[in-house]
Amino acid sequence: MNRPRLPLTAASLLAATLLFASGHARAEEKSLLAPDGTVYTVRSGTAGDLAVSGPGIRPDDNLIEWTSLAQDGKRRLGVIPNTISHNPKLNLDLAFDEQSASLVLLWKEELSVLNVLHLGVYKQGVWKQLDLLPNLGFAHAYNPGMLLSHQVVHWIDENGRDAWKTRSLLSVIWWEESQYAQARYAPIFLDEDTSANDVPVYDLPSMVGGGGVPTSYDEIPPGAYLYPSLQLEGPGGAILASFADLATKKQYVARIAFPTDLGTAGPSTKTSLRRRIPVVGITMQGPVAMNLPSDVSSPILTIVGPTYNPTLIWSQEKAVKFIRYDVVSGKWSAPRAIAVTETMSVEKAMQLVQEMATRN
Amino acid sequence: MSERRKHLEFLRKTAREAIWAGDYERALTLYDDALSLARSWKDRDLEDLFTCNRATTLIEMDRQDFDLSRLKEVLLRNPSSYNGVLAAYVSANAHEARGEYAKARFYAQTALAKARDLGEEELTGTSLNLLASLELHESRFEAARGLFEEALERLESEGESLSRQAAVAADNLGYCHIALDRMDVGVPLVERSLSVLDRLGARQAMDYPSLDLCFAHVKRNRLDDAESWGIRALGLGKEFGRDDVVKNSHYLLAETYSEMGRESQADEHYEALASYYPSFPALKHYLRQISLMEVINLRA
Repeated sequence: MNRPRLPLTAASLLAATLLFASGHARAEEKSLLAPDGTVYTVRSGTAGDLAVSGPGIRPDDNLIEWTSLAQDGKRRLGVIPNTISHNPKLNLDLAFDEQSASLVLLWKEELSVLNVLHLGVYKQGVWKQLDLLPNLGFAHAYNPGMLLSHQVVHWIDENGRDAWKTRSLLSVIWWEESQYAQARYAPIFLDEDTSANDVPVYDLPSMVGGGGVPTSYDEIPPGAYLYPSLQLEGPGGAILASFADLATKKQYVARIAFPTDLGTAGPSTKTSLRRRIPVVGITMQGPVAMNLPSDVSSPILTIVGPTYNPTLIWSQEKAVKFIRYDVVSGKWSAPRAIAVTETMSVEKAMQLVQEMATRN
Repeated sequence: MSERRKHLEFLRKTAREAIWAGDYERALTLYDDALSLARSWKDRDLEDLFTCNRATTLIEMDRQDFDLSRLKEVLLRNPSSYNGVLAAYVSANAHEARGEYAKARFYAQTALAKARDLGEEELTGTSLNLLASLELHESRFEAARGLFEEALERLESEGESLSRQAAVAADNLGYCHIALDRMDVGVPLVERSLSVLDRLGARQAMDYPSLDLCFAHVKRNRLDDAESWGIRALGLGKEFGRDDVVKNSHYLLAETYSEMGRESQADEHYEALASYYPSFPALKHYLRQISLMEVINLRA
């Protein structure tokens, strides 16, 4: 079918989001400690809830406020530009890139028939907004996540000498339901002057040779596809994207890297122009995981191990559970569980499973 | 076209489809989203357009919870572009809906002049119709007649003579003639309008033409015809919940039966009409004594 129908659980999530959108009674907050000791905090909610006032701001306007507290006690605060509107702003996520001294904020703006993802980049005292455009239609983004990575690149400078620098890459991944239901990916180079109009967004199934065909949910549990994830491959700077493709009913782990040799200096040389084009390789493909719970009240965490086989982890009914993909048999394991007891907290159980998944 | 524009145009197209389907709530939701995105993406041109579209949708829904000053701001910022003309036109509609006829007339004249300057055919036509309707509302029948004539000529020259819009304009023009006692010109125009509307299956739009023919026949003392068209207008008014049509029908039928000497039937309609004005208990007796046929304006 062309226009996928929301499965029950995804529809429930959407309903909850819309309920929140109309209720607008809760503020959301996120904090981050930068390497220089500055604490950044962002809060979203109505101006009334956040006690923010100013010219043109109505108490029922939704906005995002930011504050910073430096080691010398200096405090800065303000409203992030272009965030004042009737629409709720949710799913705040923060990251700080020391290399480019950039604070990055990711959020989701809930409109009525669609939602959109925005990125705010705070650099040298100025906020800049970038938009991650959805596909055409009534698109809804779910579970956006971001990951910072760094990559050493080489080029020949104006004097013909070898030169190296470290590039900062912010990768964003999310699940989107519009014409097709699929995972999407956007790379943003924080050390370059990216404008709001030139953030490329890729359909992940297309990056592994599929995509562009109708998708259907069939009996696939929502947890198997709603939480695409990103992970660093290692110090080389490549990242691993784990996602499900509903058209082929496959689970993929894709390695995404960018050219490290930029050739001769100059923004218009061919090699330089290729610097933002992702180089993608499939490191794992298998059947989509069917033995996940249909209830996705807790998020599904993905850890890709050293042999690129993923482990999917979730918390359910006083237990932390996981399944692993077995490359030899080409199958997913049955769910395994660690019971949560007085001596085994959820956090501890999660940590144990993550350590196991990372090492195996 | 940029990716952002594609998104906004998609929302605009979908909202227009919702309006054509009569689903104003959905259209409003879509315009709200489109307006938010246009603001967020700093597309001032489409933001202005969606501001006008949204206000128009609310007016269609008999709602006035929009900021009229925003429309005036769009007009001031765009004195010689499509959005400016549209803002003037929507402002005129908004003032009309609020019963502020002098202001409505001013903005309708502004919209008409600017639309003509820019050669915006569709907006010229709709502004002409609006201005003519406002003149009619103020009982300036001769001024209204000239405007409706031009509106009708424009539609005919565009090959739209058998459209719903042309039929409504023909009816209004016919009514102007009837009000000016030019029955020989007015009645055929209204009959032509009814014929087109009937062919188009636009039953709801046939209420005023029916009323106009009833009015003309009362004036000509053709009372059997007046009764027939009055009953038809009353039925349509009740069917589609149009109080203005129902009230006018009751009055014209009461006058018809009164002239026919059928006092009890006349009384029924006077009473039905009086029930709309509980704070004027003597209305029924007043109307029995004084005929308003010479001063009545069915479009007021």
